[in-house]
Amino acid sequence: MYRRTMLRAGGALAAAAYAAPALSQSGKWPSREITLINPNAPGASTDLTARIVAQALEKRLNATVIVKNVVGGAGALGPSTLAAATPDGHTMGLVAISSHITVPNMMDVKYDPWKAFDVLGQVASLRYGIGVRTESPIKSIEELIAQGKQKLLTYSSNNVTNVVAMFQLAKLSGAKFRWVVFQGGVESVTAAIGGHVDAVIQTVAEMKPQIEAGKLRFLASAATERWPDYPDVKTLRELGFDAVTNGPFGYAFPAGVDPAIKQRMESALADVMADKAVQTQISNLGIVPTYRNGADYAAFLKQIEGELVPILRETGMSKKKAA
Amino acid sequence: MEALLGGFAVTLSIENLAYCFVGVLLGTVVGILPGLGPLTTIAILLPITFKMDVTSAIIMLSGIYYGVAYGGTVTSVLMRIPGEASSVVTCLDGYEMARKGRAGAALGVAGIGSFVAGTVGVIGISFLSPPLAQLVVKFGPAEYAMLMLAGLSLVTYMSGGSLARALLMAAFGLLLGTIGSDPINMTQRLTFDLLSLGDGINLVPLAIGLFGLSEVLFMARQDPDALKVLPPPSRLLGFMPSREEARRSVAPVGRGTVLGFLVGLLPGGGAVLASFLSYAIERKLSKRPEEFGHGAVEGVAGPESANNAGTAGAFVPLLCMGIPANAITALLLGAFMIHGVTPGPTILERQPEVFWGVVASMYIGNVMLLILNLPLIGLFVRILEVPRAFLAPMILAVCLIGVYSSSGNPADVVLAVVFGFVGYGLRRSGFDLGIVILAYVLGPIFERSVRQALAISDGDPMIFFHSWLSGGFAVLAVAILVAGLWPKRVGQAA
Repeated sequence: MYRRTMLRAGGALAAAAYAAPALSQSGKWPSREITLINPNAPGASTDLTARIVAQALEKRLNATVIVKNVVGGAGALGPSTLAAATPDGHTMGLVAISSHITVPNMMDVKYDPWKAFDVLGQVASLRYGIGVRTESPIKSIEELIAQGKQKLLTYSSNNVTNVVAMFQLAKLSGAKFRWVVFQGGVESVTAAIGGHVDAVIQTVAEMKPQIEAGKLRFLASAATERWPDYPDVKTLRELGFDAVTNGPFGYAFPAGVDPAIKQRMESALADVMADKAVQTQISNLGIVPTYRNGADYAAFLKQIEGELVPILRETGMSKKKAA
Repeated sequence: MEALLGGFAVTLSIENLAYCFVGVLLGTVVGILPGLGPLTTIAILLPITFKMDVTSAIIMLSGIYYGVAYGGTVTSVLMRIPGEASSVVTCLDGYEMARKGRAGAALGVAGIGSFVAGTVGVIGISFLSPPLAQLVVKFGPAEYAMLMLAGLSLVTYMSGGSLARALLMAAFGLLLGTIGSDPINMTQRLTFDLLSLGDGINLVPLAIGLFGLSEVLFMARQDPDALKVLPPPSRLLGFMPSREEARRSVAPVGRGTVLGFLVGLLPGGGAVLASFLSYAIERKLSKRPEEFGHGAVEGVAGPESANNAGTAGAFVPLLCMGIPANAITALLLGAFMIHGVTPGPTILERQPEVFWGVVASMYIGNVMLLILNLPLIGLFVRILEVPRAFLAPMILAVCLIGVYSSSGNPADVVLAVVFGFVGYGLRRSGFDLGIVILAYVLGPIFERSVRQALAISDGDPMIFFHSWLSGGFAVLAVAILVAGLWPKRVGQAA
């Protein structure tokens, strides 16, 4: 961490001085194992994806890639550790809405999300949908809205990232929906099929087993596209509501990595994501393999920030006052 | 039945038997090593299974999961270090048995009890899965809240000391449970701006500190001669419980099995709650409640059976509903999905060979674990022959390494040391530490469920009586409290 502060404080001069040894370093990079920091527990969809990507990167970089779960601090420990790591190309980590938007807005972290990372690219996006239990009288989004105008409806979800579409839908339609926070995605879905809440917004991976089993009725895709497995179910946009939940995730180096190394890692990642076997493994998890290069991915996160920050304020989750 | 036989046909290939053996062996080892939990192990092995057949992969990975419940007992009994959360309660009486020279018997009872519970649990999966899985979705926030309340009211049964002391420890456990992010809107509570406390205090540093490290401090303080542990019988069958111990264990094993299986079905509480419930019940039913905490064999037999039956119970909602009961079964769900199999009601129609193959492997895995564990007991108990002067630093090292490897976070090691001193102080003052863990585990689930229920009902507390399940648990909670307070009042008056 000390080194990072020094680097920033030193400014251009230090950066120039640092570049010379770093260049010679890039020749033999990677010179040891590469650590991929994941802020979620083993078994989380980001963790499973990281293990698939790490295995594919190993072949292309000729180096061991270890997934390290740095779990804790309500998601803050992972990105904080990444931001403080030595930028020598041997530490990379997950960057997503959590690292860039929710965590910095909800907690006091020591890193500036828009300056601390060299973003390498996006690898996947979680695809969200809205469902109700099969026994529910609600059969469409229109009926959900009609009911929500008569009385307060509850819906379950485990993360503020997920609920963007429901907040937007409530605002656009005037219906009243209340978010009930559950601990995990599957718990949310279970609460809906048990009839404890009126609806649920979660990812495909979490909803699909229950849709297949006929326990959950899939009302609409909350993504920009329809779900490939359910081509008949429309998106909220197609139904006339400009409401979308995005769930991208990708990887970054801590800022200050030799551009040559960054270049090689970015292209290795692009190559991994073009690999059909990798795509199939990720798709099997119910996650959409989605590639964006570093610059595009950083810009995409910035766009989502604009949508999410007002919701964080509304739910009382943001501790930062409006600027 | 025919389908189950088909499952055995799948499992009985040399290849699958080998995977099953590797799984249970790894599970045992991981269970013995504190800190390195099944979650990490399964996650590390997951990429290796990408190329494997799905049934073989799940057979191996689930072997790790239920194997852990066997191995976790060893360090609890021998060193008072809980290898896994669900064996915390075994530290209480298992270690006291070891100090009286009955380490082999404690491990033997635990091993045999685990085998009975594991096997009965698998029979439960084979024949009762679909109806039981339906029950799981009936549990909403209100039902959980009242179940946790009933669990918390058990503190009145957990302690041999005064009620006031028990309640004080429960309050301490609840307070520890509130540290970290608020479960609903993520506000940081009692974290003092420390990032490492953002998710609250982890169970591993807490349990290892309170139990394992406090024991090291006790050893350091005491006269070496006073610490003499009776040498365990090192005969071939030294692990066998005596006739008396065996007789006293039968009923607790039976009750622990049924209770553990039912509680294990529920997402959230699972095996930890099951082991504590069983301990409290055995203590209440025992004719010699004063022996609890001083080496009562029932206090090992019941909880150890309960935590194994609990691991089996967790497979029911996983396989039949696609609902994982805990983080480990969630990881197994991920393993299924990477292989393109979706667990849930459809698995029986579409991939019956996967379902029955895994179930059949669990029968065989439990037999393997019994054969693997019993002979090793003779070896494990030799640890007690190590002079205390060497054993104490060894326990210290195992504790600290265990804590570090559980999260990779050095702050957890510091926390564990702090809790070591706290635990030492509390034990010297005669407080019961099991209650702290119980309240710490159940408190946050109780808080979250209450807040979810009230969000759903828009603040109306009648939601806690909206179903016969939640109403029933509410009544049960009151009954437990009243029954727990009643005899003590009478006893004190007399």
